[in-house]
Formats: sequence, C-alpha cells, structure tokens
Amino acid sequence: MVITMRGVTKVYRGQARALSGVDLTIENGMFGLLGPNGAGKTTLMRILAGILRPSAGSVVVDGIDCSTERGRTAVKRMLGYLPQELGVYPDLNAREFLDYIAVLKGLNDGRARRARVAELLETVGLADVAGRKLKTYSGGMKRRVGIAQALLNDPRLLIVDEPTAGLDPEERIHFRNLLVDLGGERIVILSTHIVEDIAQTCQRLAVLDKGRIIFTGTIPALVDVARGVVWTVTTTGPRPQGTVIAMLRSGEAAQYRILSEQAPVVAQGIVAPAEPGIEDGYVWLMRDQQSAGAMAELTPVASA
Amino acid sequence: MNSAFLRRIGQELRILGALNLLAPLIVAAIYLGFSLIVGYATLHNSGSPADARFQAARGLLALLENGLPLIGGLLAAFVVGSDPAIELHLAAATPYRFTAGLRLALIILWTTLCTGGAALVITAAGYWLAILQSLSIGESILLWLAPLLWFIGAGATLALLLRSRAASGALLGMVWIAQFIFKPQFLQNGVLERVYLFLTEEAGVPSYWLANRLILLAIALALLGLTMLLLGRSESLLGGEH
Ligand SMILES: Nc1ncnc2c1ncn2[C@@H]1O[C@H](COP(=O)(O)OP(=O)(O)OP(=O)(O)O)[C@@H](O)[C@H]1O
Ligand SMILES: [Mg+2]
Repeated sequence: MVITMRGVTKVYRGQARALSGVDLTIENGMFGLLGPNGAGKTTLMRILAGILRPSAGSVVVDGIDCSTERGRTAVKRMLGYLPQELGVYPDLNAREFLDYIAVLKGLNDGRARRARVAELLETVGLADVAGRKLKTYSGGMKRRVGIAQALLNDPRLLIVDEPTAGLDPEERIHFRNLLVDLGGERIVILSTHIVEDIAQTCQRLAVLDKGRIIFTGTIPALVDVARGVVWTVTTTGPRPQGTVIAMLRSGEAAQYRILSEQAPVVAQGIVAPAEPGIEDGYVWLMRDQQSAGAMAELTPVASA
Repeated sequence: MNSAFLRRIGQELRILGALNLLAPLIVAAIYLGFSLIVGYATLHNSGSPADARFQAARGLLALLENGLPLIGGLLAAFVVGSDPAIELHLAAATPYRFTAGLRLALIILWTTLCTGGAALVITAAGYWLAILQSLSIGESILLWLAPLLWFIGAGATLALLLRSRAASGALLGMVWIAQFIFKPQFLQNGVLERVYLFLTEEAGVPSYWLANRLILLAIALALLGLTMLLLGRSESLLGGEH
C-alpha cells in the first residue's frame, strides 16, 4: 500500500495556510510526523483521513483518488483514526461506546463485533472497567478507549494524532509496542512532539514546519543532520555559546550538551565532540529553518 | 426494520440521554399544572364553571401550539448542534449526515408522539376548545404539527449556522417571546399574519388560518432540507463546540 500526496495545500476559511504544497510518499510500515505546535500535523492527518478536503493538490491512497466523496468513503473503510482530542459520550460505558463506533465503521455482524470489542478492551487493559461510564474515566483511560476504537475494523491505514499524550510511561511503552506489532502489511502514521516515541518506532519520518515539509527520510538521516555540531562541554565558567540541548549541574561544574557549528570556546573546562542523537538532529533542523526564515526576511528579493 | 437498526436506535436514544427525552413530558406537566391553577382561579373569581373550563382549555392549547414546539426546537438544536465524537463520525464510513439525520428524525418522531398524545388526551378529557370543533382531523393535527416542525427546523438550522447550542437556544427563545410582544403587529399585517406561529391560541380560527399553517409547514420543510445540506460541511462541523 502506498499513499501519495502531491502539492497538498490547505487554507482554513479566513485563516493563514495550514499546509502549503506538501509532497509526500508513504509506504507500508510506521511513519512519523514531527513538528512544533501549529506546524500542520493535525491538518495533514485530517486530510489523509478524508475529514478535510485540501484546498489544492491530490491525495491518492492505495490507488484510490481521494478527491471524490466515493474515494474518501472507500479510504474510510480501511481507516483507523485517533483524533488529537477525542470526545466521548459521557453516559455510555467503554463497551457500549466501542460497540457504537464499530457500528459506525460498518461492523454489522453483532457476534463478531462483540468479540472484537472484548478483545480490544483486553488489549488496552480496560476489560476490568469496561462497564463503567466514560465520565468516570481518567484522561489516560479515555486515551486508551480512543486507541481501541481506532483498531476496531483492523485498519490497513492507521492514523494516530499524538497517541501517547497523557499516558504514563509504562502505558506509553506498551502502546508503542502495540503500534510496532501492527506495522508490517499496513501503514501506521503517527504524529508526536515526543522525539523519543518516533525514534523507537518509525522507520521513516517527516518533519513539518509552518505547513511545509522540511525533512523526509530515515531516523539515521535525521541524526546525521546534526553530525559534527554536537559538543559536550564541562565547565565551571559561564554558559557557553550555542544551542543548549541539556544541562547537568554537579557542584561547581556543569555539563552542557551544545549544538554549534564551531567548537564552543570556554575559559576553563573540557570541550569534546559528541555523537548526535535524533533530538539533536531535530533541533538543528528547526534552527536552520529559523535562520533561513530570518535570511529571507532580510533579503526579500533573493527569496522571491 | 431489522434488529440491527433497532439496536442503533436504542444506542442513539442512550446518547441523547434520558433527561432530554423526558423534557417534553416535563413541559407538558408544567403547562398542565398552570392550566389547572388558572382554571381553578377563574372558578374562584367568577364562579362560572364554563369560564374556568375555557381558561384551562386555552392553557392546554398553548401547550400544543407553543410549549412542545419550543422544546422540539431546543432538542433539535441540541442533537445537530454538536457531537463530542464528531471527528470519529467524520472519519467513519457511515456519513455523519446519516447519523445526524437519524437523530433529528428521532426527535421529530418523539415530539410528534408527545404532542399528538397530549392532543388526544386533551380531547378525550373534554378540554378541546369549542371554537376548534369545526376543524377536520387533518387540520387539528396541522394546528400543532406546523409550529412544532417549524421550531425543529429553525433550531437545527440555527445550531448548524451558529455552531453553538447556547446561542441557537437563546435565539429560539427570543423568536418565541417576540410572538407575544409583537402580536398586534403580526396580526394587523396581511403578510405577517400568515407566518404568525401562535395564531390559534391568540386569534382562534380566522379565514387565513389554513394558509398560515400550510405556509409554516412549507417553511419548516425547507429548513429541514437546509439542515441536511449544512450537515455536509465537515470543516465547519469540526469547528463547533463540543
Ligand atoms: N479549524 C481551524 N480553523 C482555522 N484554522 C485552523 C483550524 N485548525 C487548525 N488551524 C490552523 O492551522 C495551523 C495548523 O494547525 P494544526 O492543528 O494542523 O497543527 P499541529 O501541527 O497539529 O499542532 P499541534 O502540535 O499543536 O497539535 C495552525 O496555524 C492553526 O491555527
Ligand atoms: Mg495537532
């Protein structure tokens, strides 16, 4: 299965562009979407899910053209979608809620549907509380209901928008593993702010900023973006120049992880090059982006 | 009707909630209570049982023509105005328009049953006003069905245009009150009298009564059609309150 997006642009009514000219090809396996708040991740996922129509550009999912109502409905049949903010019906219990969503998804065989709901309640660890009304659930428990509903129809295309937000660490790992198990013969697209989640699960990822794709590739490729610019600095002096990624204080001395083109200069202390990580790559990429933006502002003629 | 469909209806009613379903009955009880009080007070003041009966019957007519229709409109605004799980609906294979249409149909069915039932009870109890005896059965139904559907159509349309249950409910309430405040203006104008919502209780059965009911009914059907159109705009549905 392949998803191809060509020149996808989205302008919300009366608002600035949420996406401009996104070209993206996604193949089987897990695909990560990374980007700061307001980058357009949710918008992109809603377009893929057929919830929003792009203002321009084309989306083709598994050979189905999503520009028609009929095409979008066909995609929805193989889709599992977890919205960033999931609302539930407070007076239903988890079992009833999942059963209702399963009906919306077209699981019409009553016996098979009940079996599937029971199975998923088990998977997300809610079997014991499945009879309690959803209004008594904690945020993390609702999140798990959301994850379960996305899986009801055994989707070939699974789109999850910040699935691990609000989950405790144990549950986050559990869910990450669940997603990896699901990968394989299907496409799983996940968005997150947590770089670590992507590093642990995705083969490929895209970084989105201000509605544009600024990076697509593998995890090692993103790591390579920061190769040669990561330094560890141990010093008792003032904070060194560069982008501080991390800082650890022990008594008088402090150890910094710094991103900088040139080796930072410190009066007294040790400066050593360090092996980049995915977070370093992401931060360096975003920094490049900002300076590119600043340059464009300074030289409007050249950028046009 | 197969069992899966009945099951679906059961689910929709659960989502709607018992309190919302009880609302028409609560309103009926309130109007009934007021009608009895007014009737009793009249009897006490004038000593005329016929007078008392007339006043109580008028109160019960108001239940049919303005009480239950307003509740119908509020319920309609409530069901189509927003849905907490709207994104799941929009991402599922079943079109949201179908679900919202089903919910609206349930509201129409339920409020029609309540209002029709109330009309039957009122008639059986002998509180159907004498001036209404000339109406045919169809016209007696039109008496309350026209304003009921008008409020339901208006409530649903407003909720979808304003994207707010509270705002659309408030606006419906204002329309309702305006009928009383501007009653003289409505009834003295050849055009406005044709769209006056509470014509029967305020003016009996004037010559243009049937025209008034049919025009209201036509507006109601147009508003319900508009509702179905508006339900296709997924971008604006997403922007609504939850
Ligand atoms: N319904 C809407 N109407 C108008 N503008 C919107 C709407 N939804 C999003 N936007 C705008 O589109 C841009 C992209 O928003 P989007 O929600 O896609 O970002 P995001 O990457 O998911 O952010 P976050 O990480 O905060 O979830 C933002 O500038 C936002 O203000
Ligand atoms: Mg988002």
